[in-house]
Amino acid sequence: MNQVATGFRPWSTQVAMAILESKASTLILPNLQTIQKEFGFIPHEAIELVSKVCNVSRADVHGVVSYYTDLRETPAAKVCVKLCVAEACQANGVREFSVAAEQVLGIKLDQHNPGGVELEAVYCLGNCVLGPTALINDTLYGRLTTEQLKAIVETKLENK
Amino acid sequence: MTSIKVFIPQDSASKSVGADQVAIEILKVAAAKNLDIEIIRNGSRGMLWLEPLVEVETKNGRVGFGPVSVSDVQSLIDQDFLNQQTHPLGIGLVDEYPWLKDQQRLTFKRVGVIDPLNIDDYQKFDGLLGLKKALKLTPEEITKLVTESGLRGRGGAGFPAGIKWNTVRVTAADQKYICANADEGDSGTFADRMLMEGDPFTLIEGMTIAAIAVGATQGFIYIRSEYPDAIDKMQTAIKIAREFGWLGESVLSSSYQFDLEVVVGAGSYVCGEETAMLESLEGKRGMVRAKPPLPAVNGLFGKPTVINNVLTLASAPIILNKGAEFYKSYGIGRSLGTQVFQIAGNVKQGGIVELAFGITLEELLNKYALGTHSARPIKAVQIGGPLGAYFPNELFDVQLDYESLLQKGGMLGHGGIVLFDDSVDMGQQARFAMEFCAVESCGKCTPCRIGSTRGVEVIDKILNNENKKENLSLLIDLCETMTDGSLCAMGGLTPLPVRSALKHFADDFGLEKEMANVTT
Repeated sequence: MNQVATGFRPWSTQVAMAILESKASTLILPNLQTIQKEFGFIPHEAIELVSKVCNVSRADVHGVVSYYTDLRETPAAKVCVKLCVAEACQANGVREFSVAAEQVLGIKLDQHNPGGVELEAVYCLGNCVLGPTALINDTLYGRLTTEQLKAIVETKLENK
Repeated sequence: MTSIKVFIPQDSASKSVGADQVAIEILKVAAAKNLDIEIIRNGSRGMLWLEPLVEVETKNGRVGFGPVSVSDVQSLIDQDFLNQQTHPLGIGLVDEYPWLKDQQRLTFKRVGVIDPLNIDDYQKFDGLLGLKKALKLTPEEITKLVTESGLRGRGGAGFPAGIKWNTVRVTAADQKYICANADEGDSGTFADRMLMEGDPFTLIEGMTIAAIAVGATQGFIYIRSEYPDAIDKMQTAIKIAREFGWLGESVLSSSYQFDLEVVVGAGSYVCGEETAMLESLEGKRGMVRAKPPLPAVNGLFGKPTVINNVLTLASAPIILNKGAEFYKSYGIGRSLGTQVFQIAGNVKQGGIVELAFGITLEELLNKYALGTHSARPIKAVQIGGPLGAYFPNELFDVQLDYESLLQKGGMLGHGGIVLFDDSVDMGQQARFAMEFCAVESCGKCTPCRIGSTRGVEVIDKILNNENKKENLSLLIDLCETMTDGSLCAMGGLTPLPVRSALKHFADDFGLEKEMANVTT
């Protein structure tokens, strides 16, 4: 089953418009961040909406969406693992760890996966002494082992 | 009887290894035994290998225990650690602990010591004294004092902060801004995060001083989205500061107006570059701007803007409070004051070491790092983040200040020191530098956008033994083009780790040392 992140509103143009109007920002990025926070991702319709609110072209809005790695055009998986793969974590073995993580989770780094878990490479979480480190649904874990990773992901998958 | 104060960090590094669970367990076990305790969630002392570090307040000072796991809590309580202050995990009086005792903590003075959001705690430890002093000075006197202190930008570029402030001060405009660069994306650095989580009022105070000095009424703190805890803490601290009149229409009942807002990034490394950050603050793609015009003259929304790193701004309060002479009595040459070093990577004792500029890398490694976590020998140390050079053992005598590092082909950057043991493959590290640049380049200038991808390819060819000599000279040529032709430090400094790896670790590229040396 395609398990996606929970806790977000279903898309509604009217609701989105009302939320954007209440925020009263004419800057592209904050409006997109608001949309993503409420709906979990940035649907195609939102691009047109933000372009109207900001009085810019849809291309300008799309340019911002495609630029920032945080902004996504499809719903997030139920469990998002953001694994730090930068230098300080490399020093603590994250090159090997990420291969092992792919194996225990049965998914590939940075590839779309409908199974409810995604594994994303990020560059630095500011936990550079206690690597390998990952943000899993906004909770930071340090000195992570693959066994721990597997257990955390399984628990979060079972939670409603 | 008053309750015993127990300090358990709420720093995200500490939480990442279980501080929250330890706090819950201590509360639970203490309640079961009817022990009267008060838990205070402080920042981290910066001794990250000891996290979670639990401290108990005694009449002689705070006694530490760490690293504490949930399973240790019962034995701590059974051995009456609250009163006896002994346990196998005990480290004695924290302030006397050798790692901490000899540090010169000016910027990090309160981090880990106080309850981060408690305004009484903040003021008890000299908080607000700098701002109060600033309110008695003219804007010109403030910028002069900061210039005289020798404070330079802690983000990496090392530009004199007072001169930047003065440029904004003398530029006439209807609106000016202060921006704190908290987009701490360099791997191996976490001082901005720890300061924002452990002592957020210091940043607010520093930004307010800057605002008074230059005539700004609005400030922004641009924090990367990877730091959710720092974002929360800063937002709450700003709210509290407003409630108590530290921010708002009349700062501490003066005629100055200043307010602050947190702006959250969206996962782009290059937004730590000041002009890309301005674009991002304006809600656009984080594309680097050409300079000039300088942001000090034409910055956010075209207005004069001070952009400083968190640590630069957080140094202002102590400079105002204690004076320029005091601050510049630390440091050497043109690197004055203290640097917050962050020892990270494969390290036995990693964390925050704040010391005057001028300590050598060797001293830092021998006195603080004490080797690698894996207990294998150190092979390389990268100083200054992903755009900084790799240093071999022969160069560990390098002095850690802006100029000395430059002379040795490196840079201080944001003060990150990352240790690698002998299992590291420096060919792969050089390749990663190019790969990282390809992923994070904003794409505006060609040397960075295309050069980084070509860099990965040509390093792969060298590592695969394809036309080694020709590909090596291609790589060197590419590095020169990127260094000289890139708009900002992203493309301009990516060759630094690559060339230092080639020069000092030719073996890992399958090259003769002489061959690599000719070209670097």
